Amino acid sequence: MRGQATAIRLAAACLALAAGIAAVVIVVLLIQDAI
Amino acid sequence: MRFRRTAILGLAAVAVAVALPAAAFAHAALVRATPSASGLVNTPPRQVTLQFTEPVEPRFAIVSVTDANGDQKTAKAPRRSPADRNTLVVPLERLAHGWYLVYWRVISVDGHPVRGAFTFAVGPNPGPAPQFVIPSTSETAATPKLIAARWAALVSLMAAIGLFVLRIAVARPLVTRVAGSRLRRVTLAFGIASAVALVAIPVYFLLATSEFALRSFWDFGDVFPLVRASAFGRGWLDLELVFALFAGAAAIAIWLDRPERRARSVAALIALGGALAAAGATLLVPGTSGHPGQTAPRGLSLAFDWFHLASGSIWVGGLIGLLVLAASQPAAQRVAALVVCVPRFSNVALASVLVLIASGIGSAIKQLPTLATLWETSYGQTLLVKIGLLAAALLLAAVNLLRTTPRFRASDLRPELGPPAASLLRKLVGGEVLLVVGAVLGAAVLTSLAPPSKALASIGHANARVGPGRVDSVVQKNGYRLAFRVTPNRAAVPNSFEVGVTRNGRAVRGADVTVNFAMLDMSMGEQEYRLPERSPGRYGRAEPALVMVGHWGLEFRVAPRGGSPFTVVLVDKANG
Repeated sequence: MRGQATAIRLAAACLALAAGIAAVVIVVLLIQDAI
Repeated sequence: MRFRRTAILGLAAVAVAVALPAAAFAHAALVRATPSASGLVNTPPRQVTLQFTEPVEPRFAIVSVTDANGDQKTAKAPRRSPADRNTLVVPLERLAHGWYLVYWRVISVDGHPVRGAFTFAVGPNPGPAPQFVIPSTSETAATPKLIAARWAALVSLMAAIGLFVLRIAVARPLVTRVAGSRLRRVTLAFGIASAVALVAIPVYFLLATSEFALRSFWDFGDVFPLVRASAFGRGWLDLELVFALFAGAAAIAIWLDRPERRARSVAALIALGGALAAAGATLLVPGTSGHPGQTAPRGLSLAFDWFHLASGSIWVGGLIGLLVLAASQPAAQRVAALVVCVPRFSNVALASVLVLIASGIGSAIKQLPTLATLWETSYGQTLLVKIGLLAAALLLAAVNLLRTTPRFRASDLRPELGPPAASLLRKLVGGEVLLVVGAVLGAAVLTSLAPPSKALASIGHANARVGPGRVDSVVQKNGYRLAFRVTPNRAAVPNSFEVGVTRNGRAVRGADVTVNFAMLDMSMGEQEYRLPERSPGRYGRAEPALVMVGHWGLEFRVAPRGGSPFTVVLVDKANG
């Protein structure tokens, strides 16, 4: 049960990290578009 | 010691007074027109071509070509030249001999409308130039509706990021240090600010797009496809997306954070990294789709803008969070909670304000062409109001830093200092929030204003400001006395421009005097005339040079015979 909770927490953390990376990629593309 | 700190803060307040955030001259400007401005062509042109400094979207462009009677002569809507993205082509009906007025309004990549006008003649005998009436259309992004929407989007976005930083970093130790204290209300405030931003951002870019394309806001079917047609729309659409990613990542980071444990878990650290990366990316978007993204060197401009926005967010979000924190704690824990949070936030706020000032000054040094732009244009005047509000907020912040924070620190040993300090803090922080939110409104106006004309930069410092009405003005320059007279100084009628040049009371004869007319309120072709000597030392001529109401830069270049030439600039306000 505890292992499951830890897995869910890690999955959520990875989701947040993926969101951060996606945001950075979008902005890099936006800057390239502006240039 | 206290004096030194006060002095440092005083200096900081003065520095704010010169902190200037955004570029003013990064907008679409007309570089070439065919037929040329004020030019005469012997063959009636089939089309008007307008070449700008950057790509412009034809669906947002208004171009009218009218004859002396005001009749429209365009045959079709403007389209982009297949050969050049920066050029618009407007097909014309067959033109008769005579004079024509071209009036244009385009949307710059940062979403600002820019307009201009010029005349040309079809000859060989076009006759005398008529007095054209400049068409009036809404060509400002500074309408109250747009400013309110932009302000709501900016303030909620900044508050959300600042509240997240306060919750996750500044106020976190509160839970372990003060038993019974809670951070739930700060989290709730972050959620509300995020929700407001997620609604306000699309409302703003849809409003702006509908206004620029002259369509109704409610006509979503027509307006939505146009959003991606402009760089401005694409930028704000990306802002919505990136901010949504931030809000999601931040919500996960807060959910995973266990403030009752001193050390953060690996999962919490990973989520925090994602949320901070998304926050950093979010803060880069407004600059990329605004002035800084168009101002060279782009990297430096974007860096200044990012630091300006990031420090402003931490300041304004942190202040709101502090108010929420004070109001949400049970009465018994309130002072203890503030004792933990206020000194920590003071340090962060001081650093933020210093970065805010430094990045503002950096932008100012790089971007403002003349200091006079500050008080001579509505752009500069808005900037002064914004600086005034920030300076007032900084004064309140200084009182907090020098009075309230030390009392909280001392309340460990003298508990009676705590409650009055908490009461003072709530009043001061409340005032500070109002002032900073007002300053963000100033920023919303500022970033919505049409830019001052490039002519302002090229004419340099004005020797005198004259008009409206008849001008009788004397300027001393290089030992010469110049008496200027403009009558009747009204737009769109022939005006007499005269300058009497004397030196040591004696008329200066045989000088070469030319005058250049530059419209300062919008981008127009400049005109230049030589002023013949009418009587000894008096040079003048009558011309309908002030073709529209507004501010004009009159640059008189005087070359005395045998003396060194010099220039006198008058900024003239001409009424109708």
